[in-house]
Amino acid sequence: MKLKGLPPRVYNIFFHTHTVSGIVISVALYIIFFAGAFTLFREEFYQWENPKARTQKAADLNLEATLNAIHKSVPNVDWNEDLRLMMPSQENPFIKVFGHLKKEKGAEEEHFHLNIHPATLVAEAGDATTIGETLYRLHFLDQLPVLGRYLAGFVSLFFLFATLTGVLIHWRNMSTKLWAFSLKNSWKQLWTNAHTVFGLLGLPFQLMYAVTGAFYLLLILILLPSVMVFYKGDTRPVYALVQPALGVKYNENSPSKNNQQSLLTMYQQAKKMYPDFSVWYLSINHLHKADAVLNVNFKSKDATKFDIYGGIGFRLVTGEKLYEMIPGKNKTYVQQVLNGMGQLHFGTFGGLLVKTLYFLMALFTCFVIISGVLLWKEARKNKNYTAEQQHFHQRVTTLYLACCLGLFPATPVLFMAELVFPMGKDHVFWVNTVFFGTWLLFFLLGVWAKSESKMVQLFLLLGGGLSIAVSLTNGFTTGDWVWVSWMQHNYFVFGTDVFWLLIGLLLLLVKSLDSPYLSVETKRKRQQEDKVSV
Amino acid sequence: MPAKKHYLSSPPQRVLKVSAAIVGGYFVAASFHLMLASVSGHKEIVMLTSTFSLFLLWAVMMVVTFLSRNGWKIWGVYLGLTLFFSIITYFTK
Repeated sequence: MKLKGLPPRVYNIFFHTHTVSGIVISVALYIIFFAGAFTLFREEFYQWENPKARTQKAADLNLEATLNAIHKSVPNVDWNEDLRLMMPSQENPFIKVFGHLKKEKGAEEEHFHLNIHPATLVAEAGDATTIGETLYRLHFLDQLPVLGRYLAGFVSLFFLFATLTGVLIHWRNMSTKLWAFSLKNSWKQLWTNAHTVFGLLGLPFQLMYAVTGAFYLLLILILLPSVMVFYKGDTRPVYALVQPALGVKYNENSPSKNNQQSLLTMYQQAKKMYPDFSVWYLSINHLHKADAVLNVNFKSKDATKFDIYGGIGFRLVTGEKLYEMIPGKNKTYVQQVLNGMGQLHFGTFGGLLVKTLYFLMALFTCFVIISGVLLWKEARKNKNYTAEQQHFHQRVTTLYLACCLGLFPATPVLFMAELVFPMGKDHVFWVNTVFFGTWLLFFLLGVWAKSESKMVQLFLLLGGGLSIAVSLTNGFTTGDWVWVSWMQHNYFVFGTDVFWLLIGLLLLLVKSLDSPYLSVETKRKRQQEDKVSV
Repeated sequence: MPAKKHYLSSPPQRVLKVSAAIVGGYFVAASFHLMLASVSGHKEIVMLTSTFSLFLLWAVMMVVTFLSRNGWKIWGVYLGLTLFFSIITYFTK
C-alpha cells in the first residue's frame, strides 16, 4: 500500500531541511539520549554508586531525632528558610535533606545537602557521590556553563522539527517502513533502512521526548508571554497554580516562636489522613517563626496509577489547613499536566519494565541518529561531489562517530572511578575529570583508528572489557561480589553488576562475529563502496 | 538521494526563512496561545496546555515556513498574524 506522496518541490525542501537540522543536532542529541538512557536508572543504581547506602531496609523517619541530627551536623542551618526532607525509599535508604545556611542580609544563598540514616542517624554530605548526577547533568549538557541547557533545549526543539519533516518525507512509504529492515544490501541501503524503519517505530517515543525535553529546558519561553500579559510580570501566582505550597504567604517580620511540638503532632496527623498515599517529602518553612508552615507531599501507594502526586499544607500555630491537592479527590487538570509530563519523561509510571523499554528505545534512538549521519555520508559518495567534498563528509562523520561512540566505553569508567577514588572533598572533581578525560582520550583513539569499522571494533573491545571490569571493581573495592549481593538480597547492587556483565559479554560477542551470514554479493558491494574516495 | 539543488533557495532567502521559522514561528505560536487563553476565558487551562501544545505549534510553523517561496513574505505573514492575535488578546483580556 502506498500513500499519496508530496509534490517534488515540497519533498525536496523537506528532505533538505530534515538533513540539515538532523546533521546539526546529531552529536548533541546522541549525547542527550545516551546519557538520558542511563539516567533513567539513577535511583536504582544509587546503592551501587554509594556503598554507604548498601544497608538493609531501615526504620521509618523519626522526625524529632532527624531534626536534632541536622542541627548537630549543620549548626548554622537556617530554620526559617525552606527545609526539605525526602523520605527513605527502597532504592535509597537515606533521609535526603536539603536546606539553607544562615546568611547576612543581601548575601548570596548557600545550601546544604545531607544524607541521614534513619536508624543510626549518622549524617553524611548528600552530594558526595556523582555517577547519577554527572549523567543526569550531561543529559541536558549542563556541564557547559549557562548556555548548555538552552543549547539542549533548542536541540530538543529542532529534534521535533526533524521528526516532523522525517515523517513527511517518508509519508508515501509509511506502511512498508514498519518492517522493511534488512541487514543485506549496500551500506547506503542498510543505513537508509535502519534510519527510516527505526525512526518510524520509535516515532511516538521520540515525539514525546522532543516535546517534554523542550518543555523542561525552554519553560521560560512558554511562561514569559503569559506572565507578562496576564500576571503583570509576577511568576509566583503561576507557579502556585501547579504547586500550591508556592502560593503560601510568609511575613518576614513575624515574631519568633518554637513550633517543634506542633510540627511533630501535625506530621503524625497528616500521615494518617490519606491511607492510599505514603509521605514522599516534607517541606518546612519559617519553623522558628509565628507563621511556620508544614507542607506534606504524598505519593500514591498504587504503582499502576498515572497521577500519583498530592500534597497538603498546614499553618503550624493554628493547625489551619492552607491547601489540599489530592489525586482522585480535588486535583485539577491544571495541576496534573506537569506531573503527567514528568511521568512520561522519566518513565516512572510502570516500574522497571517501562524503564527497561525506555532504555532500549533510547538506545534505538541513538542508533537512528548514527545511521542518519552514516546515510548522509554514503549518499554523497558519488560523482556529483568533488573529492574534497567527499573527504570533508568522511572527516565530519569520523569526528561525529568518535565523539558519540567514544561515550560508551567512557561510561563504565565513570562507574569504576566512583568506587576507586577515595571519598573526600575532591572526590567528585576527580571522578568527573577521569570520566571526561577518558571520553576525550577515546575520541582521539577513534579518530586515529582511521576507518569506521576499525573504530567500532576498537570501541566494542574497550567497551566490552571495561563493562566487565565494572562489576569486578565493585567486588574488589567493596567485597560485594555478584554472588554476595545476591545472597544478601541486595538486588539493586546485584542488578547493576549483572547489567554491566551482560553488556560486556554482549559487546565482546558482537565483536567476535564477522557477519558470516552476509552473502558474497553483499560483502563485495560494501567493499567497493568503502574503496570509493577517502 | 540528497535533495535536488534547484528546489532550494539562495543564501539571503535562506537566512530570512530560517529566522522566520525559529523567531517568527515562536511569535505566532506564543501569540496564538495568548489569544486562545484570553478569548476562551480558561486562562489557566490554556496556559498549562501550552507547555506542550506551544512547542508542537511552533515546530509546525517551522515546517510550514520552508514551503514559502519568498522569505520577506513569510516574515510579513507571521508578523501580521502575531499582530492580529495580540490585538485580540489586548481587547479581550
